[in-house]
Amino acid sequence: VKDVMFDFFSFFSDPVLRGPTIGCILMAAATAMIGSITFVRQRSLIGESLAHASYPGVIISVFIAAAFMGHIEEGAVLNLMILLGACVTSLLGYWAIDFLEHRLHIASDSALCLVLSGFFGLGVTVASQMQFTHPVFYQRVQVYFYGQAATMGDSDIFLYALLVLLIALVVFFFFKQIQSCCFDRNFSKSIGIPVRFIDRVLLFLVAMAIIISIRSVGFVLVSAMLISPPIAARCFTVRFGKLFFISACFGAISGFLGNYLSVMLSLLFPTDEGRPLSLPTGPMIVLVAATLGLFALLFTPNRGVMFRSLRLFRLKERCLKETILRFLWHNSEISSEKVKILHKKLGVHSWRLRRVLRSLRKEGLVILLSHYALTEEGKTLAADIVRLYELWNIYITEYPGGSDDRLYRSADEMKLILTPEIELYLTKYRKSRLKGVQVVEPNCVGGYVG
Amino acid sequence: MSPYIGKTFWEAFILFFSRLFQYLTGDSGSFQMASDELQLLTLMGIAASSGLVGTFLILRKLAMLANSLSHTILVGIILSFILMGMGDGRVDFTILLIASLLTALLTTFLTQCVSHTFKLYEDASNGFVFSLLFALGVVIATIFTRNSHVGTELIMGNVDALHSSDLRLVMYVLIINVFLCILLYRLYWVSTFDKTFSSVIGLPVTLMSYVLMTQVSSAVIGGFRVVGVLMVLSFIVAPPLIARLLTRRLGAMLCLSVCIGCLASLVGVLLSRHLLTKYYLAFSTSGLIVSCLVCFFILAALFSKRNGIVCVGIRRILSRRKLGLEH
Repeated sequence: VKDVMFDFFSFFSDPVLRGPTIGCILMAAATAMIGSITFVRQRSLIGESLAHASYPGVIISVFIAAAFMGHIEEGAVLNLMILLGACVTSLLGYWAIDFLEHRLHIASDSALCLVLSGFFGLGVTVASQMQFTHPVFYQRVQVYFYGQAATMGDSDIFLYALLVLLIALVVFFFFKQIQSCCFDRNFSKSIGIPVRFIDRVLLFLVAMAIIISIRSVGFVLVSAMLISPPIAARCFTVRFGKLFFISACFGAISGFLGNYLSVMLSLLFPTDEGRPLSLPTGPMIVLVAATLGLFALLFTPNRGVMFRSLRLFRLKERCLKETILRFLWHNSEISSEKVKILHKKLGVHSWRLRRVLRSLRKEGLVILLSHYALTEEGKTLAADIVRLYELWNIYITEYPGGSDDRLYRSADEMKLILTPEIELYLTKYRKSRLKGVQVVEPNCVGGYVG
Repeated sequence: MSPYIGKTFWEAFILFFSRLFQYLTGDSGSFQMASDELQLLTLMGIAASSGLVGTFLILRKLAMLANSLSHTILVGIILSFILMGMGDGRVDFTILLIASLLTALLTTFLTQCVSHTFKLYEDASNGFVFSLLFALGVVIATIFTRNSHVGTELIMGNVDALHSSDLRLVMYVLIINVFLCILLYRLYWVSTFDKTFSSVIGLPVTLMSYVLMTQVSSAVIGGFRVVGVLMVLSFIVAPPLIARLLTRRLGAMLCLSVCIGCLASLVGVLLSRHLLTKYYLAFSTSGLIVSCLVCFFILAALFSKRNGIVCVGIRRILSRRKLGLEH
């Protein structure tokens, strides 16, 4: 089968490839959806702990199955038992975390870490015994470390689809409650939402997401599927409902692509001494999801770092221009040597200062004769800016309710905040304060007054 | 042939200490270290160095960073192999030391970088970074070794196939950690409990956190071949937490956590021999040690004087009775 290059659609139709593909998509979408809840509650790492806490459950349920069945049996019964066991111990793990945090007052990170490693150690202890008594079953369990999507059959898909449907339904019916509990617990308590109950529902959902995904990505990497898609989705929206949807889409895409790439890239590597290379599906899915997240963090228009730093750069540039204009208005000229003094005074690099001066000249606000000086147009604008800055100073110190956490803004922002009424008040205040003091009054020019 | 075969718990306990005494007094010139003793000493070394660094880690609330270090150590090892040349595939001390340094720097730097530049929640960026690096590590390791189950050994460790070189590695790590902890004790102390103050008086706070992370990753490196990267986490987290329940002083907490770790190693190793001899149960030694630590923790949580559930309950009952008498 592996000699031919698969086309896109055969991943959904071929009876061998269909299982892993659809299974991974379902898994990733469900986990991503639940992940967006833990993400906004800032408890992303709880998935990591609960996933590891599910290990002893898997081991013990397989142990019980081995004791009853005696021989390995591919089928829904064993899978169901494994899911049940995993669910039970991850719930226990949550209870333990809760207990450590609230009764023993242990910091949340230590509690998470202790439960993670403690439960895992307990699992290993039981597993080591099973290694000798039931080696076949032990092999079967080891798969759950990194997941083994390739062996998923149609019955597994059916089971997982049911679970995903359950999760989607629960989220759909409790959406409003979940939303209000995530963002304002006290408010939701006051309007009569049973917060504790919703917490339990969420916990149940997280446990479901984990037990669905341990089969395909393995419990070492479950947390990645809970974290990466919501991170990517968060870059595109600020609405909680959309976050769910977009995050599920990203999850599904990474589930499919990871599975696809793990099959296709494995074909690219030559077989070494008859051993074909098979890239593990779980880590590939995680890689794809993380790459998507990274791209979203870098390149989305609103929150992406690229565009954000560009915007920041422009803002800084504008502020520097205003500062220079103010300086020129007060001092009437900067000779070329004075540029040096200025860059020390303003704390910017001299090359940056020169560049800004050049662009000011290009805009026709500043001319360079023997020294830098304002043009007529520049003078008008500078006077305006100086007046705004002075008014702003009065505004943040004297105006009732005018205190602002950011002391200085650019002139454009000041214009937005200083409405005509406020401006009138401030001008009057300033005039009354300046009475008797000889100060050069900047001309009040500008179309936005009144 | 190991003298510990066929011994029960207390017999082995007594035998161990008598052999230790014999070794220290130098009675027999041709002292042969049994494989069990090798195992025990290695585990104790891991427990001691983990207990030391774990204390500071817990107090700084950075335990989950240790979790991500334990995952990214795979990338560190691969990177250091690439840096040092593939060689003959032998893992030697220098490579591992460089790996631990690289891992610590990479993980800590990337996690901070992601949460700062991308304005993400700290836990999300933590999980994001380590899962990305770990998945990358697994894929690269799979391509190099052509074995898709490469990570299992990393996670589970292999406590029954120890070599004396493992003991040497663990001892080097222990010596470095003890040395650094003694040297930087006051610095750690100040910067752990009052970050602002220590940066105001000009202490290198950021550098300290990097040094601590390097120490943690060296402890993980020391332990990953023996107990696996996940169970070494319990060595790092559990003893300091137990000590934290029992004492409130830093020095006492350091000593206690080292002692508790060593005690758990001793009990775990002896218990695994005992169970094998008496009941023919082949439990994994490292698993048993972690279980011991969990049991110790439960005991401490129940009976600790300050926070223990029993003591708090008794105090509450007594105070209620007192109040009842007053009214």
